[in-house]
Amino acid sequence: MEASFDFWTHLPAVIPELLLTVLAVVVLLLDLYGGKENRRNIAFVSAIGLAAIAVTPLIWGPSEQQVFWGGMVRYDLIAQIFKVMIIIGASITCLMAADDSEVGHKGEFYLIVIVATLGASLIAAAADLIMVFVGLETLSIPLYILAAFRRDDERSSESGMKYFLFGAFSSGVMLYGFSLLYGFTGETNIYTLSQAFPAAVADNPLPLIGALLMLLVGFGFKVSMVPFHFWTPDVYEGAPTPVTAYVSVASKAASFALLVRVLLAVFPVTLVIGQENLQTLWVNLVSVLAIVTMTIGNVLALRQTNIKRLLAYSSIAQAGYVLVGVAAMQSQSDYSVASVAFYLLMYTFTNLGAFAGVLIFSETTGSENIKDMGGLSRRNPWLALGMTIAILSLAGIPPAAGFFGKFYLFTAAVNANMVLLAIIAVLNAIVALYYYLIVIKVMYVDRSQYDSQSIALSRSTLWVIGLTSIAVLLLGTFGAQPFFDWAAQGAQALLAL
Amino acid sequence: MEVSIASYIMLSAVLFILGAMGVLLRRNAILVFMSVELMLNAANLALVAFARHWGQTDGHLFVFFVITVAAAEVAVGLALIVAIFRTKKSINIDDLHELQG
Amino acid sequence: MEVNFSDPNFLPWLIPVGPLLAFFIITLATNRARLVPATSHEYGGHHPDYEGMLVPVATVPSRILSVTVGLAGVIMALFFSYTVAFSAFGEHGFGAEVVYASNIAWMATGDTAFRLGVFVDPLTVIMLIMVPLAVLMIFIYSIGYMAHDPRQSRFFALISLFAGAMLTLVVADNLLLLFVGWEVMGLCSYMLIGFWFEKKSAYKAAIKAFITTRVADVVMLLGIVYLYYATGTLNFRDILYNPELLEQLAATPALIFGSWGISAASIIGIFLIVGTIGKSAQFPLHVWLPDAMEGPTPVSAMIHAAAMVSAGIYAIIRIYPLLEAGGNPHYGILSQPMVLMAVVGSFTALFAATIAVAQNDVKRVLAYSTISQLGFMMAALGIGAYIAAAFHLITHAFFKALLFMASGSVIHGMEHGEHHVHEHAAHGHDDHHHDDHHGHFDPQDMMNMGGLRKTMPVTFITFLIGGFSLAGFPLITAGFWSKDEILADAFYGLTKGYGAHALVFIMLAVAAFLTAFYTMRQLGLTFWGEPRTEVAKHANLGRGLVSFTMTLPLIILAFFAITAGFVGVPPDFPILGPIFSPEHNAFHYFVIETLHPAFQAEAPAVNAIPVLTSFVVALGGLGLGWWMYWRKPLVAGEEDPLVGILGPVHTVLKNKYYIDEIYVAVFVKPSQAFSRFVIDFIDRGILDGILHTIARVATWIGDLFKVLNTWLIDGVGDGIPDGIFDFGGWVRRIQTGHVQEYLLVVLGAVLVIGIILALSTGILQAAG
Repeated sequence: MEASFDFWTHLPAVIPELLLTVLAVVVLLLDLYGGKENRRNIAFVSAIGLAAIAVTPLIWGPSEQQVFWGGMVRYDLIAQIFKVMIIIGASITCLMAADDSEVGHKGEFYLIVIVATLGASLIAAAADLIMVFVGLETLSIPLYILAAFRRDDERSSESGMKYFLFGAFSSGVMLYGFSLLYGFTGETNIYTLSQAFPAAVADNPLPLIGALLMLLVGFGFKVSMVPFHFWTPDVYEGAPTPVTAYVSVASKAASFALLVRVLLAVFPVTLVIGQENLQTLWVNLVSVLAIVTMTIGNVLALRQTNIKRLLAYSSIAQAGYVLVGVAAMQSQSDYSVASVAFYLLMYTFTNLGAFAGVLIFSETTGSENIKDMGGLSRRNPWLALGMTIAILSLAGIPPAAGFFGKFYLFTAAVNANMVLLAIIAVLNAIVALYYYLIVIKVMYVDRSQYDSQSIALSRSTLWVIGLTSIAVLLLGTFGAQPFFDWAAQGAQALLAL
Repeated sequence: MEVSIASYIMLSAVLFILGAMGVLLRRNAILVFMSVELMLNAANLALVAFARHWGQTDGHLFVFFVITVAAAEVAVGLALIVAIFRTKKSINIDDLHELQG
Repeated sequence: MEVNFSDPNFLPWLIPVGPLLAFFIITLATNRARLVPATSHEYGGHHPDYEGMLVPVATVPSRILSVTVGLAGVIMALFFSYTVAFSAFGEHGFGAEVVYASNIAWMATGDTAFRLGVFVDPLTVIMLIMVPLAVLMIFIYSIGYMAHDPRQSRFFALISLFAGAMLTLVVADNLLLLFVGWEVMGLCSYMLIGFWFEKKSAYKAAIKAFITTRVADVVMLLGIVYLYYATGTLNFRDILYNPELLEQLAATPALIFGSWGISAASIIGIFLIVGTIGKSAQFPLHVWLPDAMEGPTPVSAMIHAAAMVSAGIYAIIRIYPLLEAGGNPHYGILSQPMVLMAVVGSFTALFAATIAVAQNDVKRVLAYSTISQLGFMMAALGIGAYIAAAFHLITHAFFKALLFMASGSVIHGMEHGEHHVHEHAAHGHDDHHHDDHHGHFDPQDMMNMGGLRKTMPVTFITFLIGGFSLAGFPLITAGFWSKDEILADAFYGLTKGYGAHALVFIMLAVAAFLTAFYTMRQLGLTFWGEPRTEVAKHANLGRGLVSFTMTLPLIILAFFAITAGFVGVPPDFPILGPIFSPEHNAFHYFVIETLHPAFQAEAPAVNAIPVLTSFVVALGGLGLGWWMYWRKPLVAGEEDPLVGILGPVHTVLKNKYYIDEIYVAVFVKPSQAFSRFVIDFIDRGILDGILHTIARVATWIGDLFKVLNTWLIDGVGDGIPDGIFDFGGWVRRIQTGHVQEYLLVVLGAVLVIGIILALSTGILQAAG
C-alpha cells in the first residue's frame, strides 16, 4: 500500500500478538516434551508469560497512533488499554485453571487460551473488516473447544456444541453483513468505509440498516446482548469454570472494544443518508437493546439456583449496563467510551474473582448450587470475603469498583441527555441487588450440608482471589479516577480518527 | 455474456437463506454444519462478486481468509460431534437440552 | 504530590499512616485467639449467658505482637508529627506566608476536581505536638491496663484506628476529609465504649454514644454540603484565609432561613457547631459522654482527652473565621454562631460543673468535668478568644488524660484489692463486712475508697497534680494559665460593656470555682483520710510490667500538666512574664498566624481583676473542698456532707437534672410509640403491601417473559398449532435448552427490529 513499507515501523504495533504466538509455541513444546510431572507448571509459565506480555503494550509501541500493516490494525491508546485488560484476564484465568482438576493438568488447555487471547487482542485493535472477521474467529473457535473441554462430561460437550452452533450461525450472518458493506463501498477498512457511503447508497439508508443489523447479530452474540444471549447461560453453566470466567471477561471486553470502534468509525455522527442520521439510528437501537438486555438479564437471574447460571444472567445484565455507555456515545463520546472501558476493566477483575471463588467452591464440594454455599464464611472466611468483594462490585456497592463503573456509565448517559435510560439502568441495578445480596447472605448466614467441611485455598487460587480483590478495591477507591482518566485519554485517541 | 452483479447477489442471498433455514430447521448435526458452510459460502460468493464489480482484490483476499476460518471451524465442529456422540450416542441436536432454564 | 521524605509538604501524609497500618496489621495478621470455655478464669469467668460456649482469648504471642505493632504505629506517627512540627517552628513566617500542604485530585466533579490533601498550619502544629504524645501515653498505659483482657489485641487494633482517624482529622486540608476522620472516630468510639459488650450497660452506652453523635453529625454534614454548594470548595485555606469570600458568605442570605435574617455563613456555622455540640458533648447532647465511661479507662482517656472531644473543639477552632464572619467580637459584634457558642458553652460549663459536684463515681466526676471544660473552650470561642480556646484545648488534653489514667489506676488498684480480699475470704478468713459487697461491689465508687495515698503514692501525687491543674491552681499549673487567658479575654470585653462577654465571664468564674471544689472533693474522698472499706485498704497496682506501664505515663503527663502552661504566659505578667515570655507570648505568637491578619487580635493587657478572679475562684474552691473533705475526712458509713447542705438540690444534681429521664420521656418513648405505629400501620400495612405487590408484579413479568418466549419458540419451532394451543407449555422456562429454537428467536428478533427500523426511517423520510 505505502510506497515504502518499513517493517520496523510496523512491527511494534503487533508486539503483544507476536509474543502471544511465541508463548503459544513455547507452551506447546512444554506440553509435548515437558513430561507429565511438569504439566502443572505449564499453568504458571502461561500465567507469568501472559502477565509479562500484558505489560508490553504499555512500554513498547509505535511512536504515533495510526493504522499499520496495510490498514489491518490500528495502534492507539484505547486498543492498548483493552489489550492489557484482555491479556491480564487470560493470565488470571490460567492461574485459576491450575487448580481445576479436570482441565488444569492438560497443557493444551493453556495453549488454546493463549490462542484465543491472540484473537481477542487482535480484534481490540482491528481496523479492517478482514481483520475483524479473522480476529473474531481466532477468538471464537478456541472458545468452542474450551467450552467442550471436559470431553467425558455431557454438559460440557453440550455447552460446546451449543456455543459452536450459535457462534457459527452468528458469524455467518455477520460475514454476510460484511460482504454487503464491502459491496456497497468497495472498501474493507472501517475507517474509510463511512466516507464511501453517500456515494454508494445515495439517499436510501435501508441497505445500510440491513448491514447494520447483520453486524449486530455477530456483535450481539459476542457481548451476549438480548436477544442474542441465549447461549450464555447454557454455556456458562456447562463449560469448565475457568473457561466461563474467560468467556465472561476477556472475550467480552474484546468484543466491546470492537463494537465501540466499529460503531464510531463506520457510522460516525457526520454520516447522514437522506434525512436519516445513521448515528441516531443505532443510538436508539442500542438504547432499546440496553434496556431489554438489562431487564431480561436481571429478571431471569432472580430465579436461578445454580451460581454459575446466576453469574451468566448477571453477566447479561452487566452487558446491558455497558450498552448504556455505548448508547451514550452519541454526545460526549470520550466520556462514554472511557466509562465503557473502565467498566470492562473493573468487570474483568470482578468476574474473575467471582468465578475463582465458584471454582474453588465447586472443586471442593462438587456442587454449584447457591444453597450449598451456606456457611462458606465459616468454611473459609477468606474465600467468602473474596467472593463478597466480587459480588459487591457486581452489585455496584462501594468501596468495590463496580460502584464507580456504574457511576461513570450512568453519568455518561445523563450527560448524553438520556436520563430515562439512566433511570431504567438504576432501577435495574436495584433489582439486581436482590439476587447478589442473597448470595452474600447465604455465604454468611445460612448453613448447609457441607457446613463442617472446610475449604482449603491453594497458593495459586489465593493469588487469584487476592489479586482480584485488591484490584477491585483499588479501582473502587483511589484507582478509580486515575484509571478513568487513562481510559478517557484512550477514548480521545479513538475519536481522533 | 456478462452476468450482472445483481444475479450474483440474488444467488448468494438464496444460498444464504437456504443455509440459515438449514441451521434452524435440520436436527442432524452434520447437516446443520453443512448449512453453516452454505451460509459462509454464500457470503464468499457475494464477496467475490463484489470484488469483481469493484475491480479489486480485497474481496478475494477476504474470501481466502473465510475459507481458512471455515476449515478450522469444521474441524472443531466435527470434533465436537464426535465428543457428543461418545456421551450421548446420538447426533440429534434436539437431544442437547440438559442445560436449560 | 511528590513522594519526598525530606519535604515537609509531603510528610503530613505519613502521620496517620502508622496507626492505620497498625490497625490493619493487627486485625488481619496478629490478632490470633484460642478458644476457651466462657467460664474460664482467663475470660473473666462470670458470664452466665455464655455458659458452655467457647470464647476467643488472645494468645500471648498475639498480645505481644499486637502491642508492639500498635506502639510502633503510634511512635511512627509521633516521629513524623514532631519532624513536621519542629520543621514548622524553624520556618520563618509560618502560617502567614508558609504552610505545609499537598493534595491530590481525588474525584472529578463536573469540570472541577475534588482535591484531597493534607495541610499543616500553626494550629495543626500544636495539635501534632499534643495528640501523638497523649496517644502514646495512652498506648503505654493500655499495655498494663489491658494485660489480662481476653481481647487485648482487638483493643490495640481499635485504638490504633482511633488514633489514625484522629491524626487524619488533624492533618486534613478540607472539611470532607476531616469529616471522614470524625466519622471513623465515631465508629471506633462506639466499638470501644462497647468493648466489654458482655455488660449490658456497656453496649447500651455504646449505642447511646453512637446515636447521639450521629444525630449531630447529620446536621454537620448538611453544613458541609451547604458550604460546598456556596463556595465550591471545602479546602480550609481557600475558605478561611480568604476574607473577601467570608464577607461575601456573611452577606448572602441563607437558603430557607434567609428570611429570618440569617446569612449563609451563619447557617453553615450553626450546622457545623451542632456537629461539635454532639462530638464534644455540649448541652443538650452531652448525655452520651458520662455513659461512655463504661469503656475501658484508656478509652475514656482517649475519648475525653486526646481525641474525640478535642476533635469537636478542634473542628470549630479550625473553621473559626467562618463562624466569626459578619461580626467582630473584639468590638462586641457577635455573629449568630458565636452567640450560640457563647451561650451553649458557658451554660454547659456551669451546668456540668454543678452535676460533677454531686457524683460519687470517680470516672463520672471526670466525665462531667470534661463536659464543663469543653464548655469553657466553646464559650471562649464564642467571644472570640481564639488563642485562649486553643491553649485550653492543649493543656486540658494533658491534664485530663492524666486524670483519667490516674483514675483508671485507682480503679485497677481497687479491683486488685477486691480480688485480694476475695482470695483472703476464700482461704477461710471470712469477714462479714465483705460479704455485704459481694457481687455488687463498685470499684469506681469514691465512697468505697479513702486513704489510697498510702498504697498508691505515685498515683496520688500525679492525680493531685492533674487535679490542681484542672482546678487552675495559680501560677504553677498549666490549667491556671489557659483558664486565666479565657477569663482575661472575657473580662476585657466586659470592661467594654459587651453583654456576651460579661455572661461568659461570670458563668465561667462560677464554674471554675465549682471545678476547684469538686476536684478537691474527689481527691479528698479518694486518697485522704483512712480506707473506708477493706478493699480500699488492699488497693494497689502490684508490681512488674503492669504497674510500671500504668505509672510511667502518669509521671510523663504530670510533667506536661504543669509545664504546658508556661508557653502561654502573658509577657506583661508580673515576675513570671519576663521569665517565661521574654519577648512575646510564645503560644500566642505562634498560633495567631493561623488566622488571616483580618481576624487577628492582640491579647489584652494583663489586668488585675481577672487574674485575681482566677486566684480567688481556684483557691476558694480548693479551700472549700479542703475544709469539707480533707480537714475532717469521711469515715466508713458517713454520709457526704453535701447531702445535708444542699438537701433536695443534691438529689437533682446527683441525678444530673434528670436530663436522661426527660429525654426518655420526651424523645425515646414517643418515638418508640411512633415506630410501633409505623411498624403496625405503615410498614406492615402499606409498605409491605406495596412491596408484595411489586414482588408479585415482578414475578408476573418474569412469568410473562417465559410465556412469551415459550410461545414464540414453540410457535415457530415445534409448529404453530402446538405453540398456540399448547398453553400448558407456558410453565416451560425461557431457556428451552434447544439451540435451534434460540436461533429462531434471534432470527425473529432481527426481522422485527429490521422492520421497525425500516418503517421508522420510511416514516421519517416521508415526513421530511
